[in-house]
Amino acid sequence: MMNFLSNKKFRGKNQVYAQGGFTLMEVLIALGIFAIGILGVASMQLSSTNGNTKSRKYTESSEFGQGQIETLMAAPFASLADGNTVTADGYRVTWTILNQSDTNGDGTDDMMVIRVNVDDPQGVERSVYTFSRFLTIGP
Amino acid sequence: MEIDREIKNSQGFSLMELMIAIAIFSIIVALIVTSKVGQQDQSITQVQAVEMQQSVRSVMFQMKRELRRAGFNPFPTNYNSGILSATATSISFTAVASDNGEDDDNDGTTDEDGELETITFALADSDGDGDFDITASYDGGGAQVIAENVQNLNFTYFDSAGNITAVLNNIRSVQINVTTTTDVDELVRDTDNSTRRLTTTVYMRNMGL
Repeated sequence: MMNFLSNKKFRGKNQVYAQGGFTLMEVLIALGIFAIGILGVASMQLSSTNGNTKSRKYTESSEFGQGQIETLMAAPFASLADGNTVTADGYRVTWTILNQSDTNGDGTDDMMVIRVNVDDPQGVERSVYTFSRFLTIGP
Repeated sequence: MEIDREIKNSQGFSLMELMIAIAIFSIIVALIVTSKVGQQDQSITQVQAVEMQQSVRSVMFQMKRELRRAGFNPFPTNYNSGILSATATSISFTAVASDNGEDDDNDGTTDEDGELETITFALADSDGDGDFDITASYDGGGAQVIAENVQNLNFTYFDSAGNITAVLNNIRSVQINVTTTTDVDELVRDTDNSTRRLTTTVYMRNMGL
């Protein structure tokens, strides 16, 4: 002990009194910076939650939309008309015939372009599909 | 010596100072722990949500893809490919698979014309863990689990006019409804939102050609 203290390097006022710890201001600033960091992590979590909710809505609406396309493909060509339906989960599926044409020139329309839109329960459009339905393919 | 006096004068902290310091420190630690627990909970909730979503999406993808092949037959000969059985929770069907490199009908010849592949989807607790799974079975082989933790699987069959039918040969489209939930052994974090449901329709374009 005495050896340690009598060592020139560790003697003198400055060295001993310099062990003053942190001032309140320093600690508060450090905590403030730390809190900002934690908030950053919390906001990442929030965006991951939002991302998952979004992906759920996109997946559900795309399944409804694709299902509606398959339904329209399975229905008789002549029976197709604009329409909409609201699923049990609250998604609104709307289908619209954009145009019809007579591709082989026999006087009867044999092709139509149909658009299918799916809105989530909050009314935000999540999926849009456009496809062609031919008279010769399907019933 | 000057230094000795200085050392003797450093008296450390008083009990009061120490207690106040500990109290402040405890409050800060309590805040950090609360926030950490909340974040942990949130993280588990999201992991569960992703599991349910992924499982319902992938099983839907596989069933849709295979159901479109029901009744497939590229040959002029009728090999009677089609739906073998159709219930609310299972479906079994055949499709000509004469180019998949397998001896689907176990007759010793691989990929002969009109070789039928049999595919079955069903709801069953296949791994015996107390909740339902969706299984797939190819060519009468063992049922393989393709989705775990399934709460509900429902098939609805429609004929060409869009009416519900039970006549196998009249089935032209099928509506698939799958609901997945969290694992039976896991604590449900988000009780208001503990299931994921997908509904879609598949037009069986190879049926009745």
